[in-house]
Parts: sequence; structure tokens; C-alpha cells
Amino acid sequence: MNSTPQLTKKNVALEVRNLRVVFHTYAGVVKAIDGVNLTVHSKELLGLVGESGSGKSVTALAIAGLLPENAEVLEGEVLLRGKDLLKQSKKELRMARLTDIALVFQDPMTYLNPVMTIGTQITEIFTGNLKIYKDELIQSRLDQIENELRQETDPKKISKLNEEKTKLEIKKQNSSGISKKEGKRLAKLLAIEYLKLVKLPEPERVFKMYPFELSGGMRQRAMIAMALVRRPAVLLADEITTALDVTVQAQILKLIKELRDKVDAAIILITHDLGIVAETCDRVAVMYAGNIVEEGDVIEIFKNPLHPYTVGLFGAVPRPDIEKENLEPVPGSVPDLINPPSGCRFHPRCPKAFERCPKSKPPLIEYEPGHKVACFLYGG
Amino acid sequence: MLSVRRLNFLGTITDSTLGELESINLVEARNVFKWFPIKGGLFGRTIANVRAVDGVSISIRKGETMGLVGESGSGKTTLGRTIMRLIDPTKGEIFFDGVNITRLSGRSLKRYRRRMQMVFQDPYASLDPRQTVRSALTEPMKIHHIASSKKEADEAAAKLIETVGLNQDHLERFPHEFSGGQRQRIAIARALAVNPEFVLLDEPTSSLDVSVQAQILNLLKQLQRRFNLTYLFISHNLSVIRHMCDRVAVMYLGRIVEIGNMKAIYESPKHPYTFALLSAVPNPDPTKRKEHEPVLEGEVPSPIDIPSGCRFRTRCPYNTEKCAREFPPLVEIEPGHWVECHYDIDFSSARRSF
Repeated sequence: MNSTPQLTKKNVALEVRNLRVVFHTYAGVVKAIDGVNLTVHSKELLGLVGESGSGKSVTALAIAGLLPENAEVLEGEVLLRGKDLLKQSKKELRMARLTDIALVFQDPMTYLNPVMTIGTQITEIFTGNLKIYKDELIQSRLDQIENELRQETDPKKISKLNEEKTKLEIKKQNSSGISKKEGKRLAKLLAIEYLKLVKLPEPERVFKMYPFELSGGMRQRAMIAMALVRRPAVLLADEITTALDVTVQAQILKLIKELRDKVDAAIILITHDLGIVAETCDRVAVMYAGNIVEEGDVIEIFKNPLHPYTVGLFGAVPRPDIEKENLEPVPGSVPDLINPPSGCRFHPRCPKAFERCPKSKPPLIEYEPGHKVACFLYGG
Repeated sequence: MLSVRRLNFLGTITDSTLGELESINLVEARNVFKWFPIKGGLFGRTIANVRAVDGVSISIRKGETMGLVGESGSGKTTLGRTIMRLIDPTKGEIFFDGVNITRLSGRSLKRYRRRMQMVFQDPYASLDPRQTVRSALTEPMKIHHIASSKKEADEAAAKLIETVGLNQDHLERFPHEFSGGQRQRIAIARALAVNPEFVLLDEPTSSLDVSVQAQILNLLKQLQRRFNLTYLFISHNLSVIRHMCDRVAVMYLGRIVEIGNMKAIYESPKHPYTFALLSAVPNPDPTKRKEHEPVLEGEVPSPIDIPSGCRFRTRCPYNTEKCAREFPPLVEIEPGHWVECHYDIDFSSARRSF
């Protein structure tokens, strides 16, 4: 694979090292994440794929520092801009979520505030934190003005824009903050720019609408706009199309692909649908019972899956384009993570398990350049 | 018996009796409407109707699997439930094994209830949490007088639970002790407890993981062969439908817009909606990625305010003035392949991954 050197040249946006998370429940301690290592680069679309209970959402929540009360991080590091998010104070973490990590979830209606307009919810990010966002708001308006000046022909409007530009530049130099009113105005202009970016029709109107007035697909677009408007380093998209119809799903996936080229964020797309991964992602990490069992370039993994679980997953999925006489299901079901199987957690369901598998846990090793696998069949 | 002439699949005329003709279709819906009224205003008058099913005819042959595919709000579940007589149609007729069951009730309907059963989407909701598996399996037998004694019912339950891939120890357990896949097996066993001929499968694998989904799909196929079952398989997952069905009906906003053999629908779809739906499915092959393909814009309109003429026209890339004016005719493009569209559009030139 010649893509590896290119990958290493790219900026690492986020690195997760040896993350282990447990949940304390009445039934016992659920060993949800058992040593996850993950690296994402800027402008990269990483697919995190797995069945329910594989730990893909918990990984996302741990990255964002949003684990519930009963969760405990036993060890590990989540490195973003050189800082370990897991070691930061609540205040610092809040800051990171505000500026660097954005999340979009499966059901937008649960995460949007039903009694606030879409516009208020987006601009609140800025108006509530004017000190932090002062420079960014002014700069983005200046960029907008530049763009508008390039297209504008009406001399009256040009002089008006220039006037605004000089005013803003003075404010930019000025060490004191901007007024609330001015902040609101700039935030609105920025919000509308992002509503446009996610291809919402009539962004000025959507700005004034309440979530219930939008359809499912439009809400999800609004959520994406809200996530991207902060220019995050990492966008975590957790099953964002699961609640949508196929035709709307296709629209959102197309949007995500387009956005990857337009924004700098690393996008982690969490899904259970292999089709979505194949359709959109650059790299993929396959999770099973709290571990990453295989990771690599999408085309390579789909062409040449190594781990028996990945192979099993491919055999179990009906295809839209090929007729399969019989599906080959993975026998058994996902293990109970209160008492996970010893050694390799897949071994009770694995058709190729041998005596070594229950004894120790296989490490994730680079079997071929850019293709990692955690299975004793391939050494380790 | 009355002798009628009909065309067989080869196009030659054969003589057959009416009895035989009737026996071809096990379930049939003729021009079925189901409108849900919306009450409002001062006197609670009907101010509008949700036209969930809006004039649908469909026939399901003995022993086949008919797929019913559509997006949410297309009316596929309502149609399924209307066929099962779980809800009454506003207009239209339903036939089971040649008998009009639209107006049956009470005891006479119960006789047909035994012959048609249903498996629901969510096995967490469709099983009574306070009922053991044994009770869930033997209760329908009691209701329909299938077993003459308790012992006989228990024996039947034991056989049944093994048929669906569980074992007899599971009979004394409660639903919460099972995983989603196992629960769905129990729900299937319960449906089969009364020896039905027709089973409505309403999104039976949508809440399951892919590895378990494959187990359930294989089980359903195996049971169909073994007990000679007829399925109506409702799903929004086109890959699953392709895997399971002999024939497919595509629903959009309360109507079947295209119906035909699985191969014909998937390989040469004729309705623009079917085509759009098929090309929207993400393909699990990254080398066949759809990079610049157009996607269908917009979302399904409200079934309260259905567009005039062709109901797909608001999203259809091929729509013309005629589509808004006239209701599209139902055309038989090839034998058994029906399409409700004004135009005969050739999609083979359009780039696609199929």
C-alpha cells in the first residue's frame, strides 16, 4: 500500500491510546472498552463500525468527555492538540468541547432544544462566549465581506461593505471586546453561512424556525451546521443516518463527503452499516466487544478482510447488487461484557479459534503496511 | 366446475378450472383504501384525512415471498395490518384463499385469524414480559383449539422451540432473559404455533444486528420451505428484500408504484422512484462508490396533502406538466411487471452501481 507515507504526512487530529472504560452497574462491572488505540487525521473520514455493544459509541463519548456518571476510565489517553483530554479539568474539557470536538447524534430531535429557534441555538455558542469567539467572529465576517466584494458590482453596496470592513478591522485591533449586539449580528451571519454550507434551502428562514418545523433530514443538516460552525478539529458523527430514510440518508452521506473537502475537521463516522463505510470512508476500524479488531484503508479491508469477525460480518450482510443463495451468519451472539470471554473476546464465536485464543489477548499489529489486525492467525 | 382459459407463463393457453385459479392467490387486496380522519374544529368534524393507503391492489401467491418496500410513511405497515384485518379498510376488499374476509367478524373471522399470523419488528415490545415462553407458545394453541390437552400443547411447544433453533430449557424462561435475536426466534415460534399458511413479517430484522439478522433470515427461509408458508415481507432495507423475496412491490405515499419479479425490479426498474431508491442504497463495495451520482432531492410529502396527479412528481427528476395534471396509468410493461408512470424511462444510460 503506497498510501501509508501520505497518511503519516497528514496532521494527526486526534489520538486515542490504550483506552479502557468500564461501567459500574447493579448487575456488575461492564468492561465496555478494553484497550482501544485510534488515530485520525485532519480531513480524513474514519469509519468506526461494529454491532451494538461493540463500544463504538462509548469510544465517542469518552473522546468527548461525555461518559455518564457510572462510567470509569481505567487508563488511556485521548490526545488532542498535544493535550490529554482525560486529564483535564471540567472547565478545560468544556472549552475543548466548545472549540475542538463536535458531536452529531442519531436522533436530532433529542439533542435540539424544542423551544429555541435553530438560529438561536447556533448563535448561542458564540454570543454566550463572546470573549473567546471575538476574533473568530470578526475574521469570518471579514472573509465573508471579501467574498461578497468579489461578486458585487453595485458601487453603493461595495462602498457599504468597505465601510463595514474598516470598522471591523479597527475592532479587531482593539483589545476590548465587541458589544453584545454586534456579536449577535456577526454570529447570525456566520450561522446562515453554515446553514447554506449544509445545503438547507432558504437558510434565512430556517434560522428563524423551530426544530419541530423541520423534517428529519433538515434537522440532521441543522445539527451538522451547528457542529461545524465552531470549526472543530474532530467531528464525531454517531449513527447520524440511522433514523433517516434511504433517499434522505443518501443526501446526508453526499453532504458529509462534500464537507470533508471543505472543512479541516477529522470526521469519525460511527455506524453499523458496512455499506455506509464503503460508500463514504477513507479508513475503517472494525470494533468487536470493546476492541478494535481490524483497521486500515477501506478498499483494502473490503477487498482483503483478515480478522475472522470482519470476514464473518461481510458474509452475513445481504447485498443490494449480488444475489446470495445463503447468508453465512456469525454463529452465536455478542458476549456479555460483565463476564467477557478470556483472551480474544471473539474466540467463542470464531470458526478458526485455536488453543492460544482463550489464553491471551491478541495485540493490534500491522500485518501489512496500513492494515492492522488483532488476531493470532496473523502473528502477534 | 367452470372451465376458463388463461395464459400461462409461456404464453400458451391452458385450460384450468376456476378452483385452480383461486388457489393461485392465497391473499389478495383489491383496491384497498385506509384513510385516518383528522378531527378538528368546534364540532369535531373530519377536517382532513391521512391517506395512508390510497387504492392498493396486491395479490400474494401460495408459497411465495412478496416483498413490500418503501420509506417511512409510505403506508406499508398500514397495508399489512389492513390485510391482516387488524384494522378495517376504509374502502376495498380483502380475500383470503378466495374468500372475501373484509366483512367477517367474530367467530367466522377467528377461523381466518388462525391461518394468518404476524411477526413484528420489535421483539422487546411484542412479547409479554410476564409470560414465560411456554405460555406464549401454548396460549395461541388453546385459543384456536389446536391442542386437545395440556400435554399435547406442551409437546408441540417443545417441538416448536427446537424448530426455531432454541432448546427446551428456554421454555420456562421469561423474555428478559433473551437477546434480541433469541426473542425474535420466540416471536416466530409463536406465530407458527397455530400452523398458519400466511405470515406477515413486518420489518422482522430491523432491530437486530447484522450477524444475527443473517441467522433470522436464514431461519425464515428454512421454515418457509419446511412448512410451505406464504410470506408478506415488509422492509425498508432493499438488500434484505432482495435476499428474501420472489416478487417485490414498491410503495410510495400510499400507493404501489411498481410491482414485479424481484429480478425485474432490481435489474431493470421502470419507475423513477424505484430507480432512485435502489441507487440510494449504500453498496458494501468501496470500488463501486457512487461519487458524483445525483441523489433524490427532498423528502416524502405529507400523506394529508398529497400532490395532484402523480404523487411522486414533486421529487421526480423527469416530471412534466402532464404529471401534475393526470393520474398516471398502471401499465404492464412485461408480463407481471406493473408500473404506475406516464413515461417509459430508460435508466440503463444512467450511471448506477447495480
